[in-house]
Amino acid sequence: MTMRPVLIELEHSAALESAAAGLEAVVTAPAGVLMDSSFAPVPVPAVAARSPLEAGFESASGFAVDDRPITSTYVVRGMMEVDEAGAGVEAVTAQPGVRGVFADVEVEPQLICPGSAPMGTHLDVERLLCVPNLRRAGMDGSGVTVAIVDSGINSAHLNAQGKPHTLDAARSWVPQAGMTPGTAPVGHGTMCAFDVLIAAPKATLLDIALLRSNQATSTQFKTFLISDALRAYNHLRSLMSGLTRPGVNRSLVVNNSWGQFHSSWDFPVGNAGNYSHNPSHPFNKMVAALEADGADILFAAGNCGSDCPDGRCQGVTANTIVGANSHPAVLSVGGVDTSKTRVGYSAKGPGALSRNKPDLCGYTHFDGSKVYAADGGTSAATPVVAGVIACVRQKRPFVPGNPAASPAGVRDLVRSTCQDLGAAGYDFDHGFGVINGCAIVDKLVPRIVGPVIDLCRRFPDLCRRPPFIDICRRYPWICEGVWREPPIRIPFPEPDPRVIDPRIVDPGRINPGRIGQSAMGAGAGEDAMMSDEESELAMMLAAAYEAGRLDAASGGASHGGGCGCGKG
Amino acid sequence: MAKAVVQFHFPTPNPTIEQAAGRLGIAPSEIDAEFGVIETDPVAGHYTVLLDAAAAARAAEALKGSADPAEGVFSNPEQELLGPGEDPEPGDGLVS
Repeated sequence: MTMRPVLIELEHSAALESAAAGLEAVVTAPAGVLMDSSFAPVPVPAVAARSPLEAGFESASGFAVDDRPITSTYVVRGMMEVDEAGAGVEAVTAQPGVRGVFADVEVEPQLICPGSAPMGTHLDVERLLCVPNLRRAGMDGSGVTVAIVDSGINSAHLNAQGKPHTLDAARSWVPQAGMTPGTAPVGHGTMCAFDVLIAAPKATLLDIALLRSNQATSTQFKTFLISDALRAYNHLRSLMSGLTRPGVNRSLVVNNSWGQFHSSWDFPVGNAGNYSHNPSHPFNKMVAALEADGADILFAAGNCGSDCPDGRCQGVTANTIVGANSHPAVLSVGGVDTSKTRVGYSAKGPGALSRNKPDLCGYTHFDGSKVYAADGGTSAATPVVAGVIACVRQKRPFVPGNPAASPAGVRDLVRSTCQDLGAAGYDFDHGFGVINGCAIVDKLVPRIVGPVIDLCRRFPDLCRRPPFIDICRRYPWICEGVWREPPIRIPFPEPDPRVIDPRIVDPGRINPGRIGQSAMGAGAGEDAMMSDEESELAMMLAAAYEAGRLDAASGGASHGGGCGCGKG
Repeated sequence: MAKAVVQFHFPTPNPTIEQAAGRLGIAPSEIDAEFGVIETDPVAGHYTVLLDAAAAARAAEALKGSADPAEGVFSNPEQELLGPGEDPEPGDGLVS
């Protein structure tokens, strides 16, 4: 027996009525209950269901509520000894004046906020992204380059966390001499690289490090300027215009998990030199230019969500998706946790440069890279989506002049296949919903169409004989091909009832009750016992082929006739 | 103080630092050499350089009266990473 928090529902009394009204009153606790005197009794009105006739068919008034104090019950809070099976409750419930005893359950806050513990792991994210389906479709990011425009990547940490990867140091970029791609201090950029590799473990990473270091003190700065991003994007544009290497297509995915937290960092909105709301700003124009070159560009939506914004937002939570993070030529990514609930800090739309931002959500706030307690922020959601984009590009590489293969075409594909969350259709909390790897695979990888074997065409005699084996029922994978809705039905002609080949069919050995059913030995002969299903089929087909010549059967499909494969 | 981003139109592709300086009415040495002259809009022929405040003010004068809203001095705001906002876990080799 342990002391547990409980709610006790008590019948009306004058003391309870007064205490509920905030007046001085002495409320006696039931025996066995340690009452919480700081919790004022809560009146619970009497509620009765109304008949539709009585309610006048008004859908909103299915209940009759009597909130008079005299007819109400009152809930008090306390502690009592209860065991796992609930023993101890009956003794209290049996007391006069006690209507019921209920557990006072602890309610955990559902919303993920800065500092919350991680929810789920990167393995959950793999499952949610439908990675097994991606792999079955041969999609793992091979041949696609993903640029992590960030604080720098630490390859050793990724390897230690079970993420072996390819990093193209030669095409990476560092902001100052003396820095080496792949050797940055373990930090934000390493987390982003890890999260790309969840969906796209075979993508080639580019380390585009923006944070400079104070080389005298070996410390890394925590911020950078938009001019640093301009230089980095200039480098990326030069890569897009250069020749591809063998085995590497021209596709480039660019992950940007950074942004401007507050407008005070910028020229005022309306000023000709403003960045946040100005498509003419050099960096916003550069983003458009890189997208026109064929790059898929992703930006984090930001962490100034209204429910629990990052402290750096300085309390501003409206209209916070600005600058390149809101550019029409990028995917702006919000964050949901592994229960597909929007995290409280994920910025809400609209966007400054394009209204419908964020575009979609990715998964965040999970136990992943071990760089932080949780791979969090819209920072983590963005590379999770970037990895899926890399898989898309593997099947649909960028080809100049092909709209479906343009960055806009890929954005449309990803947005149209999202799992819708929140309000139906697009909404400013979730965009078009959360990235859906399963739906993307279904759209990109066509199902196999048509039967694997047309038995009747290949073995016409088989279809003219009276049935002794229903091959289609016994071996449905032969007749129905693979995953076609509706399944391809192989039409079988009706058997010619005039034709009986005594060499094949011994009428005396046919079990009429088994005609149309697949069954070993149903007229097939005493020595037709097979242990290997395929060799059994081969023997039957060979026997059919050697059966001799019969008159042509009439057409038509039927089940139970011939091979019985035409079920339609 | 952060340098300013100045964007301008140039009629021929890939202007040199000297050509950019001439367009902006400043000395070539005033253009940040590490930044260089970066193309920001290949269709419109827009390029960007990085200048300190004084040079930016003179460049603004040179570009004054341009009807092109893309020509002028632009903000160079600080950007920050949108991650958890905490320092990485200890023991991972971070130098801070």
